Order: sequence, then structure tokens, then C-alpha cells
Amino acid sequence: MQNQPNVTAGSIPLVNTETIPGRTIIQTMGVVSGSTVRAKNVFKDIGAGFKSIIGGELVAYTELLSESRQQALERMVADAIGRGANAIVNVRFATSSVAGGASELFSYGTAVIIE
Amino acid sequence: MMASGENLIGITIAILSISLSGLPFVFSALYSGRYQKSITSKCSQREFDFVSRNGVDNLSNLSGILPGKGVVNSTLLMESVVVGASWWQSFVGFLHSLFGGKIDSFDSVLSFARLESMQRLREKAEREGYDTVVNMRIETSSMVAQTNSKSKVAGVEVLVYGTGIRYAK
Repeated sequence: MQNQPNVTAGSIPLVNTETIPGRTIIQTMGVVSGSTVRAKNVFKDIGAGFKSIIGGELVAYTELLSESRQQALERMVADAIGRGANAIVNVRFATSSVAGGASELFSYGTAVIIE
Repeated sequence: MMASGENLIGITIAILSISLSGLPFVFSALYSGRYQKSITSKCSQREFDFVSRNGVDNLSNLSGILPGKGVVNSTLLMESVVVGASWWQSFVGFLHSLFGGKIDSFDSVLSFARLESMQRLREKAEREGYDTVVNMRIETSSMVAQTNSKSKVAGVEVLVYGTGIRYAK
């Protein structure tokens, strides 16, 4: 989790501002989204159980969630590329817990064409 | 005689297992508060060092960049931290929740998670060569324990994300 891979590596620019500073947006291509549902891992649960005696960061879960969020972003980027966009602006994240200890990680944004 | 001997062994094992299973809880009660304070103060020290070294905090939640500066590159940066309350903190929280009022034990867990994730975002922006982070957002979500499982591990995730900006020199 210290070194999350850069989301723009080898793909299109993502920003969570309304415009890309220094670039001009020509056309918007609609809202794109990507989501992934992850359940907790039993083995990681055991480690986290020991850690929760004393509290603090649960590193296994931090890694799990950042990997999953990366996957949600990749799906969103694939959606945007499929629409012919070359950037995504106003990216937002939402997380919700579904039943059974699983959580859904959802990301959405507006696909745009920049010059 | 045999029966009483077996009873004795059984009672010894029972007492041992009860005291051993209580041991982590005692450990938690003794050390979790201290541990929480130490990681929180380490994190605020890192934040203080970072800000005093750079002269300015590079995070902001302004929606855009300051006017009159050329931008070379911008990208999405994010960092997240999952934290959990210790057994002792959960127990104190449970006691508090019977009577209501403020729960300091959970408060410190959440404020640590925010401090830590924001500090990681600062360091990440610096490491990747971005001068500032604008439009920063903080999201908090809970990872609940499975309802029908014995595991009672529950975590709170704090996600911090924003747009990293590299200015033209």
C-alpha cells in the first residue's frame, strides 16, 4: 500500500477536478463507471484478528482494498476507452458494504475528449 | 481417586485456558492506548516535519489551481488506510454506548486514520514529483464483520484522493 501503482500508467489521464488544468475539453462522452466487489480473506482475517488486539492499522485490509480499487479504476478506464474518450474528469469513489462481509468499491467519472 | 485426579487436571486446564484467553485482553487494555498515542504522535510529527521542510502544506481542497501558473502534468492520486479499534477500545466503546455521550476511544482511531492517510498522500505527491494536490476528498467507509461468522474483526477505511498538479518551472 505504500506504493500503489500509478493509475495513469499506460492509460489515459484521470483527474478529480472538473477540468484538466492546461488542457481543453472538446466533447463529453457521458458517465463511465467501474466497480468491484471484494470479500475479506479468511487468512488475512486471522492476521487482522491478532492485530485488532492492540488496534491500529490493519495492513492486510489496506492492501486488499487498494488492489480492488485499482481494479475498479481499470474497469472504468476500459469503459471510457471503449467510448472513444481520451481522459476522465471528476472521478469520484464510493464504497458500500454488501451482506456477508463483502464490500463494493465503485468509481465513476465523466469521460471526455481533450485536444 | 482416579476421577478426582482427572477432575483436578480438567479444572487446571480450564483455569489455564480461561486465564490464557484473558491474557490478550489484559494486554490490549494495558498497551492499546499507549500504542494508539504513539502512532498518532509519530504521524503528527511526520506531518509537522513535512510542512516545516516544504514551508507549505501541499494538500488543499480548492476546486482548481491558483491562477497564473502553467501546468505540466496532472493526475489522480489516492491513498487509503484501514484501521480497527482494539479489543479494549471496542469494550470501552460498548460501555459508553450503553449510556450515550461521546466515545473518545473510537474518536482517536478515526482521527489517526485521517492523519495517516493524508500524510501518505502528501508523501506520495512529493515522491512522484507533484507540487500540489487540489480538490482533495476524504471518504470513510466501514468494513463490517460477517454477521454469521465468529470473526468479529471490523475495520474502518479512510480513503483520501485528489488531483496532483505539476507546475511549469
